[in-house]
This record gives sequence, C-alpha cells and structure tokens, in this order.
Amino acid sequence: MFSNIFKLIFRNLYRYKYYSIVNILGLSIGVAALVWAWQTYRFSFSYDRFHQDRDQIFRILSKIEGRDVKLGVCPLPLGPMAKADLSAVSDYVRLENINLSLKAGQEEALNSRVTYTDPSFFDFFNFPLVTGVHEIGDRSNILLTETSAKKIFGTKDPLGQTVLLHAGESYQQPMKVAGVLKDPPVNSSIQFELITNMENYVKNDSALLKADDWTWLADAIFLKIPDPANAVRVEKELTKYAPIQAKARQDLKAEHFILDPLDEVANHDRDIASNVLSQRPEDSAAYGPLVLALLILISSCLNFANTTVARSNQRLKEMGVRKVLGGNKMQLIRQSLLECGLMVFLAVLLSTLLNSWWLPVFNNMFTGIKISADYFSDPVLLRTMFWLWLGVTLIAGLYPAFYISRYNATQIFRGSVKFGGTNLFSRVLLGLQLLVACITVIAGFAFSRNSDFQKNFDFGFAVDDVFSVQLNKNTFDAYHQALSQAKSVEALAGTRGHISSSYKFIGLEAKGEKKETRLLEVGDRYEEVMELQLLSGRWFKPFSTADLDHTIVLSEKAASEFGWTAETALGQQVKWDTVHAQVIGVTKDLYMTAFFDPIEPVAFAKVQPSAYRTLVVKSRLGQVNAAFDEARAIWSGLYPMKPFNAFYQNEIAAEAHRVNASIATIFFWFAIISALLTATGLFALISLTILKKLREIAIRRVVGASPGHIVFIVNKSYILIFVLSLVLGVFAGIALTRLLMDLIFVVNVGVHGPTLVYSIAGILLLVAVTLGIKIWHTLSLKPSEVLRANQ
Amino acid sequence: MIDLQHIFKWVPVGGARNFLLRDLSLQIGEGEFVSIMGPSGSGKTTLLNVIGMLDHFDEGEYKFLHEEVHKMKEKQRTQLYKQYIGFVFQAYHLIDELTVYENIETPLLYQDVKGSERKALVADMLDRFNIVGKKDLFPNQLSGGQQQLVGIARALIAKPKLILADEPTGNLNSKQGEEIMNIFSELNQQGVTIIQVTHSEKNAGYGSRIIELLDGRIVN
Ligand SMILES: Nc1ncnc2c1ncn2[C@@H]1O[C@H](COP(=O)(O)OP(=O)(O)O)[C@@H](O)[C@H]1O
Ligand SMILES: [Mg+2]
Repeated sequence: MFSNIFKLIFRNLYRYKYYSIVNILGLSIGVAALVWAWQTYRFSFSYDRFHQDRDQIFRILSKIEGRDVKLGVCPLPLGPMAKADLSAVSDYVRLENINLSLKAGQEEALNSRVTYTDPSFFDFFNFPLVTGVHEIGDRSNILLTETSAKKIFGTKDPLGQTVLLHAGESYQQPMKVAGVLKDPPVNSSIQFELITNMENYVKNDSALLKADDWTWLADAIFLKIPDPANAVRVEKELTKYAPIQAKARQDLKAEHFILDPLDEVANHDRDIASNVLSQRPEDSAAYGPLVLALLILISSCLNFANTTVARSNQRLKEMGVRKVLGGNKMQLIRQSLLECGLMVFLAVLLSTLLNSWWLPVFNNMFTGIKISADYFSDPVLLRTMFWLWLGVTLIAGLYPAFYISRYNATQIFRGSVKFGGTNLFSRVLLGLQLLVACITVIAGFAFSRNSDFQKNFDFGFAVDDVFSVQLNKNTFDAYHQALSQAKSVEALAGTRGHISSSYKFIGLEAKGEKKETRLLEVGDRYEEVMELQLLSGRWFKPFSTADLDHTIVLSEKAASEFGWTAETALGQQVKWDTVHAQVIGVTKDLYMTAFFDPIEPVAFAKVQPSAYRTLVVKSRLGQVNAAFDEARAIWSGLYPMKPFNAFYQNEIAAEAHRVNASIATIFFWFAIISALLTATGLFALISLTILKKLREIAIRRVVGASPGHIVFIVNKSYILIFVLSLVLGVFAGIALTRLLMDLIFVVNVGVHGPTLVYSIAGILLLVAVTLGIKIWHTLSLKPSEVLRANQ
Repeated sequence: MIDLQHIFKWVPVGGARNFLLRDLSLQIGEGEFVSIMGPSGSGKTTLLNVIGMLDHFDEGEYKFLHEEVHKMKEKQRTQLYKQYIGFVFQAYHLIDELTVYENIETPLLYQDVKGSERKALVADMLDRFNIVGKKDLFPNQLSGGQQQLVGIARALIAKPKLILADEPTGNLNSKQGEEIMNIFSELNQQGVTIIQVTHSEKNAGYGSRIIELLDGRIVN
C-alpha cells in the first residue's frame, strides 16, 4: 500500500514540478524562519543556565541614596564580610575588570581587558578548561581564553609563557599562563578574556587594592547560599553594612543591598546602572522574529492549501477511480495527508540547509546574539522540528485532503465536479495571504525609511569628524602639544567628561526636588569641538577660571525635569553634593546612546585643565580617518610601549546603523518572500477561476464582450475579499510595525502616509501583474477552440 | 443475485423533481449476461451506478445476494462492492500516474492482499490478456483497446462475481470491440455475471437478455 502511494507521490511531485518546487520551497522558508525565530527566542532566555549551582548563586546589587536605579557595583568588602558573618552564606566571589596594556615576549603592547577575581570563581561557575589548570590561587598565575591566547600568542603554545600586565609602567607585573579556558559562551552574562587573582589588582595610583577598602565598588560580587530559601533573610542582614559604606563614600551612599538570583542577572535592561555584566538581547529580539516567522509560515501553509485545492481537478479522476476500486474516504484523506506530510518533510530537510546559511549570516548582523541549530544534539529542537512537521502537515494538508476526497465517484465521472472549486474558504485563505503580505511589506518600507531617518539623525552633537583619545595625567600635556601640530586636525579640546564615554551621575537639586542627572565635567571649547547647540544663555568662558564651580549648563531635558523652559532655566540656582551653581545656559537634547534609550537629562560643568583625561579631536572636513592615523602615528612616536586608546565618535551611531540596516534587510526579504507566496497563491486561484469559466468567457467573447468585462467576470468573486484584506492588512501592518519599532528604538520615525501608499501600490501592482499575465493568456486563446474542447 | 423493487431516483430542479429512474423493478440472476440499451440520457449509467452501489437512490428496495443494500451504511456497501463487483468504463478511467502493473494491482491494495499473492495474481492477469510486455508502461503510452484491456484486467483482479460495464467499447473500433466482447462471453461462461450498457445491437447480441430503458423506465 505505502510503496504504491509513495511511488505515486514522487511521480506526482516530479510531474508537477513547478507546483512542487514552489510549495516545498515556500514551506521550507516558513519552517526555516520559524526554527530561526524559535532558536533566537530560546537563546534570549538561556543566559547563565549552564552553571550547575545557578540556583544557589546571587549577585549583590546596591541601592544608592538619591539614585532611582539599582547599581550593579557593590562595595568590595561586602563579599568576605557576608561569608564571615552570615551562616547562610557559604562563599563569595568578586569580579573587577580593567583595560590595561599587556605584553608577551617581543610582541607589541596590546590593549586587553583583564578580569580580577577570587579562586572560588571556578567553584561558582562552570567555564570549561581546554589545557593546563584553572588555578588562580597562586597569585602569579593567569588564565587565558582560546581567543585571547590566539590574539596574544598566535599559534604558539601559551602554557608556561609569561605575560606582562601594565606593560611599560613602573609597576608592571609578570604573570605565568597556567591554563587556557574555552571562550565564555555568548549567553553568559560574565564575559572575560584574561583571568587572574583579585589580589593582583593595581589601582590608578599604582597601589594594590585592599580587601577592606569600603570606598571601592567592585564590578560584581556574587554570594553562594546553599539553601536558596535563605536568600530573603540574607538580603535583610546585608542592610547592616550599608552605614559602613555610606560613611566611607559620601558621594555614593548605599541604602541597602539586593540579592539578584543568577537566572535574573542577564534580565536587566534599563533598571540597573553601572552594570558591567552582559545582558540578554532585548525583548524585541526575542519576540520580533517569532511574529515575522509565524506570518511567513502561515502564508506558506495557505499557499500550499490553495495551490493544492486549485490543482485538485488534476487529481479528481484519480480519486474517483480509487473510490470505485474500493478506497474509502479515510484512506483517501490519509493518502492526501501523507502526500502533504512528505512534502513538508522535504521542506523541513531543505529548511536545515537554508538555516545552515542563514543562521551565521544572522549572527553576524547582530552582536550579542549567537544562535545555532544542532538538530541531533538538541532534543528540544528535535522535538520542535517534529511538532513543526506535524503541525504544518495538518494545517497545510487537512483542508485539501477533505476537499479532494469529498466528492463521490459518480459525480466526478459525470463531470459535474470537473474542476476543483474556488469556494469561499479558499478565497478567505487567499485574503489572509494578502493580509500577511500587507503587514510585511508595510514593515519593510517603514523600517528602511527608519534606517534612512536615523542615518541623517541629529544627535545634538558632532559624530562624523570627531574622535577622542584616552590619556592620563602623565601623557596628557605632551600629547596635546604634539597633536596640535597635526595637519589634518582642525581643533582640539581637552576634557574630563565626554559624551557617551565619561560622565557621572549626580542628584541635581532645585526647588526642593532631586533629579538624577548625568554630569559631564568638560574642558575649554568642548562645546565648539563637539558642536553642542545652545538654545539659550551662554557657554562657559574659555581659558578663564571665572565659571569654575558655580555655573552649570543644562540640557533641555534636564531643565524640563524642574519644569523650566530654555528661557526660564537661566539664572536658576541648583545644587549637587556640596556644590551650588547657577544655570547659565541650556543646550538642545543629546542622544547619548543613539536611538536605543530615551533621552536622559544631562548637565555640563567646567573642570580645570589639570583634570583633563580625554582629548577630543575634530578633523578637517571628511578627513577623520587621516587624522586618526596621524594621531596614532604621533602616539607611537611618543610612547612606543603603550597602546593607543582612541574611539571614533560615530561608533555609537555605527552600532545603531548596523542594527537598523540589518533589521531593514530582514524585513525587506520577508516582504519579498511573503509577496511571492501571495502571488503564487493568487495565480493558482485565478487560473482555476478562469478554467471554470473558460467556456463562459469564450461564449461571451463570441457575442462581443470586451476584455474589460472579461477581467471583471474573472475577478468579481475576489474584489470584496481583496478590499477587505487590504484594509485589515493596512491596520495590522501599522499596529505591528509601530509596536516592533518602539520596542527596538526609543527614537524612531514610525509609519507615515507615503509608506502606506507605497505599500498598497506595491501590492496592487503585484496583484495586477499576476492577474494580467493569466488574463492576457486567456484572452489570447481562440474562443472557437475553447468551445470545441469544452462541448 | 440482484433484486430491484420500485426504485426511484431524482434530482431536485428548482422546486420540482427531475426523475432519473422511475418505479424501476428488475431481477438479475447469477450467471446472466445482460445488456442495457436505450437512448442517450435515458438513465442507463444511473441504473448501472445504482446497481454498483456508487450512487444512492431515493425510494425502493435493493437486495444484492439477499442483503438489503438500502439499509446499509456507506462502509458496509463499500465492503460489499469491493468484494463482489468489478467496473469497466467507456473512458477506461486508469490512473495516469501509475503503470499498467500498478493500475491492475490497486484494487488488491484496498483489500489488503499480501505482497507475494498480489504479485502472482497480477502476473496471471497480465498473462491472460497478453500484456506482460506492457506492464511498465503508463496509460498514455497505450492504444485505446489496450487501455480497455487493462481496465478489464483491473476489474477482474479481485475475482468479482459481477462485472458492470458502461459502454466498454464506446471509444474503440469494431475489431477492438469484438475482442472485448469475446472476453466477456468467455468470462460469462466461467460463471461471472455481466451487465453491460451498449448502443450496439451487435454487442447486445452477445448477452442473454436485453433491457430497454426510456426516461428512466424499463420499456420491454
Ligand atoms: N447527479 C445528477 N444530477 C443531475 N442530473 C443527473 C445526475 N445524474 C444523471 N443526471 C441526468 O440524468 C439523465 C440520465 O443520465 P445517464 O444515466 O447518464 O443517461 P445515459 O447513461 O442513459 O446517457 C441525463 O440527462 C443526466 O444529465
Ligand atoms: Mg451513459
């Protein structure tokens, strides 16, 4: 029985190649999209799940007086104290990162990130070892990851080699490579390149960090609480340390501490500040693909159902014969489903091929996402694939199966069901496809327009011809001096604070209210080089101490926090810590993190030249790369041993542009795919309608009907459903696109009228072309021949 | 074997009924060879379909081998005709995507006959109709006469007691038609009951009885 049916299925697939290819390809794209979306979704919620003791591990967050958000940092002594004082806590681990210059053998100095931690790190977390030992109890040991080993040593065996930390400084430290670890997976909130003992940590003033230093805030501290039920109690007990810390740091007084379970550590997006641990992708990245993929999968199922029904007249005779020969209805339904199941199976196979191409491409589009599909080592995925196969088979195949086995043999042989019908149901299916196409096309247009909008976006400061160089108090003056001679440099400004790289949070007070504000302590002519736009008042007087310590410039947003406009803010008194200052100017708002975050209040104060640590460089128009190279050359001339730390200002925007362009690309392709699926579905149904009406059309033409009237006859049963799905599609498209755009970009351009007009025009064009081809073909048939063949 | 009593069949046309069979009573015994004749549209095919249980009727009683067909469920009816009846059509109705061999085999598949037995039965049939050489060809590679031979072979494969043939020679030339008729006579001599619809007096002559239909009624 089965072999007979399989043979038949394959012969049918082969005989109706066009139909088979379109459907298998369509379904495979749908399946591949869903697998991609599913894996992305799973990835988003898989952070830190690979640590065995994860339910016993908690991160300590700090609540600071006057700050609304919690901080990821935590007073350094809190770990050891908690272990010593609290019986429920069995152990602690501290983490601290610095970027420093590093040197191995004869190679040039590299800028590398080193993670300082406690030997208990490997009792807490499961980061597998490749070679050597994961032992940092010995202070002279350092561990590398595979990537950092390759970066530092190339193909040389790193074990036992020496690495110099703080290369070129008087306090440089030689370390022995004791082991190589696997790179931490992307879905780990803890990322590291080199790991060594906490006790090696050297502060800016070249002294070693003391474990009981209450002024020091460590990047992260974790506690192990063997019975997680005790966590609530431990959290309360930690409060008693807050006053000790508050006394040590008047500017950052801790109120209390919060225990964050390891499973939650990656789930903080905007509710934690000073957080060095990696966060999972945003919700939009987890749910957006699912929505898209479901739309495409549904469209490809609808396409299958529609083309199968439309083509069923080719199968009716076979079905009739089978009935006469004793096949019952159930057997025929089973055969039809089996046929569909086999096609879906082929589609599933093809989808693995598609995804072996697409997943890496996708991973490259976005940082912080790395998904794969290991079909055979991932039982959840394998199960998903099975359910997907079954689900798609039923959704796509059930209706055609019932449709095709519905008629009895005598009806078929009499010719009264000569052609499969374009009944209401298949028209509704087509309508749904059209609706899906509407949604994806609108989203495609809207996102590419958003991409353009953001490319030309005014951040409120210069991004294109500006870069900044990190310096310290020993190098600043000499380098400043040297760089001011450079040919391609137009202007320089020394500063301490710098947009999107160096600022501090203050509680700004006025009118008895306290508002969290970012304070940038800037140098002379910073506003000129960064092209800040003043709305009212004036900027600090350059090269004068007049404005030091008692003046402040606010951003429009910061002023509005106190209910001031650009005009009314001028002359107001504000206060933070122990400083009292007068507002002397208001700037336009600054988008410090590109489009991903809401506008935040910003304030500027003047700082004296001895505090400058950053040199902001403005190049001559369009020469930013030349200026950057020149600056680097000057640096190596002065400090051959030290790494050059410099950043293009457009890097923040570059990430946003990249994300945006990637999203626009994805939507573009999804729009194309869904439009093509709709076109094939439409083509199939229209072919069927025409086939059914061939005789009627021929007779009407013989008696003189115009081509326009013929077009009307062919389409009249579709017009209502077309209009309805277009209208619904436009509304759904607007809603869904806005939702997604707002999820991804706080600042976006939304959906505007012309986008909708283009989208609808595009879809109408597609419909018209599809119909046109078929109708033109029909009109080119000779009526006399049609009538002879249809007597 | 077949006992039809006061069979009515109609289709609704507007509010009225268009009768396809009216008050039709008929008995056919085992081993008969009956020819049904009548003008086009007189209900011959309809009658054949009713006898073959492919079509329902609206009133009357039908006993097949003493079983009351009109009281049966669809499934039982299928079971019954699967076992006892073979169909031959004017338009052959072979499955285009299956080879000669597979077309002949199909009824056995629906009767759950085992593989080895199937092979033997199909081989027999191919032999009997001299079409062994054509077993791997598809229907569109055969002449009309050859296709009808395959159609008959398929009808006979499950060893039916009754063959229903609706104008089996209608699309064939006279020589091919004669061949088919000879096969039917032979079968009939072996005890198979045959009911055929035909327009040809000559073909009707092969049978033992002629039933004349007009407007859904028997007229002789
Ligand atoms: N299911 C049906 N619905 C409507 N009309 C039918 C149906 N079956 C048969 N007819 C009509 O009944 C008449 C008798 O048909 P049929 O039995 O095929 O005649 P014959 O085989 O004698 O030419 C024809 O006019 C045919 O169109
Ligand atoms: Mg007929």
